[in-house]
Amino acid sequence: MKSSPAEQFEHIYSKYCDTLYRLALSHLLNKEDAEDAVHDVFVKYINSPFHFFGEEHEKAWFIRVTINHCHDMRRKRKVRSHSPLDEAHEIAVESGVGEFTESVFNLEDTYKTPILLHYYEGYSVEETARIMRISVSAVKMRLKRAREKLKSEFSGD
Amino acid sequence: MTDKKEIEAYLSIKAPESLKVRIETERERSRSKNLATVRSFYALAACLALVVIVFLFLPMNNTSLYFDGNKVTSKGLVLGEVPNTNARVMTLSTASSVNIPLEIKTDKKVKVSVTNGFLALPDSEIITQEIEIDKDTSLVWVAEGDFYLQEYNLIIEKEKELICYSISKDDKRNSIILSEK
Repeated sequence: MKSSPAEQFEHIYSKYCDTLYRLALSHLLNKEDAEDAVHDVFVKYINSPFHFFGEEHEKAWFIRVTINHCHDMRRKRKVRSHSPLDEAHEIAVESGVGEFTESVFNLEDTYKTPILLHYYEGYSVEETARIMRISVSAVKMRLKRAREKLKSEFSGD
Repeated sequence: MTDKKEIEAYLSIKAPESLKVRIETERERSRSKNLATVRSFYALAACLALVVIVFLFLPMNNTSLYFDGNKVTSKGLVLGEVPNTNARVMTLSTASSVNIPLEIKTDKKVKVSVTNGFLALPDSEIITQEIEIDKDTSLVWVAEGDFYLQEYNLIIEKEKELICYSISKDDKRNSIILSEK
């Protein structure tokens, strides 16, 4: 039986809201900004409903649009966060995540995004590549470099 | 790379309820706006449909009488001056017959009749006091008798409507005129 538009939207929202919020929070390091970012993405979806070619396409769209929107917000200086290190620590404490994750939050986006998508959100390397629209080898390279950075930070090098 | 606890802690971060409320409000607003737009569209379409229907069924008055290429109205057209006459209308003084070349333009079936004289179709042997036509037609009103003493009326009957034209003397213009009554 076909579900109503309200039910369909509820399903979409439930499926992605937490993932998108976590990604936005890790990129913007501010809860209010993260909420604004995710709100904007869903508003975009509501006002221009897209026809997705399957769940993979749908997932990639939501995640990519969220990350791009976070970049735009930072670039336009619309974000409330001005001291990333302090904010990352504060967010880490508030969210109950450990030091390691706090360090991930402090990574550049180039490395942060694939780390979060692959190791935290559980997407495969191939899925991460599709979402980020880069090659699988590029994803692997970024993951490798991210691991090196984190390792260096924790080993005290 | 990461330990399970770190991942679980990260995954325990959930979107706040306030976010859902904000998005639901936006969705409702967008839905109302779309509904208003759709309603306006349907209202406009209904109005247009009504206008088209009225236009299609509204009886159009497309029947007119013409003399010398000019439409005969209540203002009247000069057929001839008294005592001089229009070159297209034969001279009259007392009792005689006058040929008044006319054209009836119509897009519906009408009945044309005259109270005096008769109607003749050019290039035809038809001579009658009453004729039915359903398209633009040239005819000649052969008016016999005395314009000063008798009434000369041409009546076009269309469905339930009558349009009456008459020949009369216009003292101001010192002419014989054909006009719509």
